[in-house]
Amino acid sequence: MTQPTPDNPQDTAPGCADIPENQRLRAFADGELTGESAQQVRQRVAQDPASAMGVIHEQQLRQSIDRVMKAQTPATPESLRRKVLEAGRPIGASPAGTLARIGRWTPLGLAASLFIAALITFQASNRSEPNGVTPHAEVTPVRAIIPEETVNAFTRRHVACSRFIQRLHDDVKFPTDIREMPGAMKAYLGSQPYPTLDLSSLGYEFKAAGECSIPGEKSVHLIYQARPDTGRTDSMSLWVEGGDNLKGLEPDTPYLIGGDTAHPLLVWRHAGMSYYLTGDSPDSMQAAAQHLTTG
Amino acid sequence: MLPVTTEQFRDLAVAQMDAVYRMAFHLTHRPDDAADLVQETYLRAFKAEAGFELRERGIRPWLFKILHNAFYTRIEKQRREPTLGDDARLEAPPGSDSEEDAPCWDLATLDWEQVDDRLKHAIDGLHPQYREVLLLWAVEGLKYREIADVLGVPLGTIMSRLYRARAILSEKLEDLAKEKGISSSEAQRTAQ
Repeated sequence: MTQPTPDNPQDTAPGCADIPENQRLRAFADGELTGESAQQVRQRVAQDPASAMGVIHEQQLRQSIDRVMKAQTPATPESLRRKVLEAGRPIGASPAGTLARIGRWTPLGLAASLFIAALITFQASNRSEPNGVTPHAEVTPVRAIIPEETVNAFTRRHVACSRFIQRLHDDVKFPTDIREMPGAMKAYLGSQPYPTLDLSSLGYEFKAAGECSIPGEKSVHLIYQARPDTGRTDSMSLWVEGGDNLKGLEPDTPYLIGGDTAHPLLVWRHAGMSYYLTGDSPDSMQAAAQHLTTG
Repeated sequence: MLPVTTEQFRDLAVAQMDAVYRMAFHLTHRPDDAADLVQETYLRAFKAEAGFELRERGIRPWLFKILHNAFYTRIEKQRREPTLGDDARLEAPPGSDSEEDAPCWDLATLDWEQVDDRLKHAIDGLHPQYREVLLLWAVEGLKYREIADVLGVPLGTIMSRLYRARAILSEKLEDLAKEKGISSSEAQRTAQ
């Protein structure tokens, strides 16, 4: 078997062509593919339900392993912590001095780590993303505002509810006509969303809406599906949250999260409300975000 | 790369003790052994401070590398003492990659408690080389290349081990699904 090599020496991702076919989907699900390599697999996932299932399976498995193993780990023994601290103390320093020094230096240590992390994120954000979506110059706040687990929750909810509309919560009855949705959402959320949430000009028909518990505040989940006459089968999920919880982002500017994943997330804010869009087709998502934000 | 003082270095290292202990615990399976291993890791780290360079992922991969070396040094010592062998735990020898695709499951169709229990058991039963890669990837969030650097093996070996480890776990979960009367094709259909 040919050993995988990076796309280029600067890139940390393995090259798609060097990865055995049966491992490529996993590498994609793990966020290890970038640029064209990721795009190739993304197209396959969009067209092949079995591949999409494979990606979901891998992501669920990883989350399950993380949850299970963290839950099964006992707390670090205090006696061990003391021994390590003692071992790290310079000869002649008192234990009290050690604690004082840690208290003083820890923020600096953390600041150094955060600085480096921010630098790397910023550099990553300046690289061109697939699908022509150019992230806004300040991507770092988005990742800080929306934790990875929340992004994953959007993906899970989109996959579950777009395939089984009945999984939408139906405690609150929303109209089935998209033209009536802005008014109904204003009544439910207390704020006025865009006057039109219609994506039919892009080939997507509104299927249903329901109240939703993510991203945390009161929000409405709208599901759109590609019209049969378009020849596509993908769907999109739009969450509208009744609160300006994305402060720090430029208004009406979509921010891309997870550009290399199967279900990227676009987020933006408008008139005191927060919008979250994900779907099976990144290109369609981009068009939908532009359509909504520019009217 | 940022220069760090001795105090900053030690504080950065100590701040990672929970992650290092977690890794040590899942490698050794015994709290006492894990504590010994963590202590040894930190002693080695403090001695090797001059060789540390703070990079984008912080100090954690560097500590994991020391932990890995310390763990396998112990394993090697134990191997010379036959009574301490732990071969019964081996799920499959590394390198025995199956070319067949592992089954895919929508885990949401299964009971979480049972999934957790079965997963834990399956992970504990993995060969340490698989388990270590799996944990560095899934729990500690390291990228393939970082794991390769920690373990000192080629990238392809990491991908291969991760592939095999996941295949084993998926097979275990398939067993659980079968017990619950859910067939693979049915699970895939319901997920579409």
